[in-house]
Amino acid sequence: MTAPVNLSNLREMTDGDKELEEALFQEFFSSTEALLDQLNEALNSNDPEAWRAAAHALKGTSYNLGAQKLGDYCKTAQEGHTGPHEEKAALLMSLRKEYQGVKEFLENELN
Amino acid sequence: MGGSLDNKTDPLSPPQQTKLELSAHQRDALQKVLSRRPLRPKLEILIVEDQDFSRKLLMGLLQREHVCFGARNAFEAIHYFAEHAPDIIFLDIELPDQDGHGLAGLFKKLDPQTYIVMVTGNSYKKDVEKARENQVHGFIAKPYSKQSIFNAIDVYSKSKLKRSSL
Repeated sequence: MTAPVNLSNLREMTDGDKELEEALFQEFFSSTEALLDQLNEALNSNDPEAWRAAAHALKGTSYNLGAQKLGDYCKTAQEGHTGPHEEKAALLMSLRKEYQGVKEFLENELN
Repeated sequence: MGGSLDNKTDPLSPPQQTKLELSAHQRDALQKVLSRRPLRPKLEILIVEDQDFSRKLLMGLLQREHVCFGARNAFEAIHYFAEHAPDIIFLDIELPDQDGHGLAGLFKKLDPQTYIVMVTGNSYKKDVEKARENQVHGFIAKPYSKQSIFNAIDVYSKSKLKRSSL
């Protein structure tokens, strides 16, 4: 099974700085949780532009972290921002599930 | 040296849409700092990126060697631009209060020497075309790579060396 995050690019950027890495992981957790809430809010208020913007933001963050599958879900969400409510709701569930996997992986790295 | 504005202590939040202009005070500040720029011992780099994770990642990479400023939106970017006249700007195309292309156009108009590298998470042809129209110097797609960032700085440094030898 492929790991949900490939940290090789991030580690090249941080140059082995563990303190920076930890700070970035914590930043990822708080940013992602806020963006998932924004996606939920956009879904509930039927706001496709807010949905697109939150998906776009999370996509960039995910790819920069090395969470390819999470980023791909966000890309699908961004591109499908005018799609039906049910599809977006299902996608949000997938995003949340994938994020949980990423979070567990990163928490293991921290320990 | 370097830094970022902290919204908790900054009494001004960005407007929903930041105007693409400098105040009179900012114009004066820019003129003063432009005259001092050739004497700066280190490169000053402005990173304009609304996502905290991505901005901090890029700052973490660059502030080991350079003076870096992080801006979360166009409002902060204009503030840092006027105060510091950065040598290089890494500029996200999608910002919460302005279009990155518009901001690039403003910076180029005020300081044609500014070296701008557009950064995007999308790969739209129209973005590349607009970047060319603005005569920016580079275009980087996310995810960031150390090589592409360092290449952009290397190209800038070589062009600066070439200009100073003329």
